[in-house]
Amino acid sequence: MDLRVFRRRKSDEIERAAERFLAAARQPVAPEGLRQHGFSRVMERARAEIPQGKAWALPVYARPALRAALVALFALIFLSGSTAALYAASYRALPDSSLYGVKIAFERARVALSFSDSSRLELEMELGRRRLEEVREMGRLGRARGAERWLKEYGRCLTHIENRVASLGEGEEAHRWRWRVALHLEEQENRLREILEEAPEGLVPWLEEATRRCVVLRAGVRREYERSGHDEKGPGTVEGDSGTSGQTHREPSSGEGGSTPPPSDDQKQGGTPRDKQNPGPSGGAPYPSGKGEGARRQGS
Amino acid sequence: MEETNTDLEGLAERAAEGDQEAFRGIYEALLDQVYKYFFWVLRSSEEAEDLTEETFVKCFSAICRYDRRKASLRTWVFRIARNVLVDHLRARGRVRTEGLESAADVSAPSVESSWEEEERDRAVRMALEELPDIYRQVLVMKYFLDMDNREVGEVLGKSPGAVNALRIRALRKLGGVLERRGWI
Repeated sequence: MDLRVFRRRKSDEIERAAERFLAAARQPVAPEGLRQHGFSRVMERARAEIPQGKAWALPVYARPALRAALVALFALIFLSGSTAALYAASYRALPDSSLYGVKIAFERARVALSFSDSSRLELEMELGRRRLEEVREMGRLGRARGAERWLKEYGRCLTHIENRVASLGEGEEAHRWRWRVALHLEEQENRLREILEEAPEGLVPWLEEATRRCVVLRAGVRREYERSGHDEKGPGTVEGDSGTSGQTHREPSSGEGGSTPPPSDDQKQGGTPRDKQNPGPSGGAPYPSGKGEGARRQGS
Repeated sequence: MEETNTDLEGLAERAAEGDQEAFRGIYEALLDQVYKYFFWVLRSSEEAEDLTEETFVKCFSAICRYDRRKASLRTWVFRIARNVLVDHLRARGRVRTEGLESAADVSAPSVESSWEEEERDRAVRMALEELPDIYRQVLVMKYFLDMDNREVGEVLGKSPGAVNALRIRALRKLGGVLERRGWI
């Protein structure tokens, strides 16, 4: 006789018998006192043992419902912090820096997030000024590395300005904007020439190319301005142009290909001789102006 | 069972937000089971009552930390109950020191019963008394609280396979006791 089979069968039988034995046991229920008054006793003890308010005011992070929200909040704070740090680090980056791409990306994002076409155009002009600051700094440091990248970005800036000017449409407002852009480009051109005078050898060809593009665009905008000036009676007054402060009275010059001289002292002080000689493109209509216009009116 | 669990977990979330009635719902749903667990393991209705209350006090203070993704509410409550039991046994310095005589102190369940039924209950309690604590807990949870191996494993901190092995060993040991006493 195989004892192992016997033992296994016996074990199985014992297990089943034990299970039956357990299943036959009557199950106790909680005493009535515990059922009736247990909960209030539990609450009393809990209030006595747990510091007031601790039970429900347990750490917010411990509540599953709020945990996800907290994680999202911390992620947001972390992302915002890193973005701000990255922005700050890239703010003064020059084209030969690895952070320059980040700087450009932030600038493009800023333009894309602008609400109106006019604020986008304003921003593009601001970015143009920043490009000139960069190239001035490169010249001061004697660094020509990254000049190609710089020209690419400056050219892109000019292209955006050109596109936005082209989409201005007609009307008094569009006329004013053309005037402002033309003045801005004139100022850019003058600055480029200043920088060019002191630039190291390696930067010169890039600056010359940038100046050429600026002049071509200025001429185009000028033509648009004059054309719309014939259609309009006069552009009237433009609110302050930060980039052309002190020059808001003058007419943008029509010179091309570097024929425009740098602004004279009169221009820098808020007016040009041309202002007095030439009342405006539409023959008598005043040039748009900011504070200077008001001052001139008061003076007269 | 699934619906009940979901309800219980919903109650736990409301209780964590400060809803006292939701906690009352949890108390009423699990009271008998927690009491039964202590009753069978300790064989004393007075101790079972005290420890049941103690368990719910601890549940109340920790309900905000309950995470339904980690365990069902029942498993979570029984884990607390087990910790309460371990603390209680440790405080009493009693792990397996009481004799069989103590089983005589056990209060019978509060239902009208025949002499045979009472004898059988007494036999069950005495037989369980002879088992190691871990075997007793596994049998109580498996056969008296209808928990599956996974739930028992979560309460005891063991794998379902280990729980099954413990169950088989516990049943054989219990069968041996019953056979020796001539009850089967």
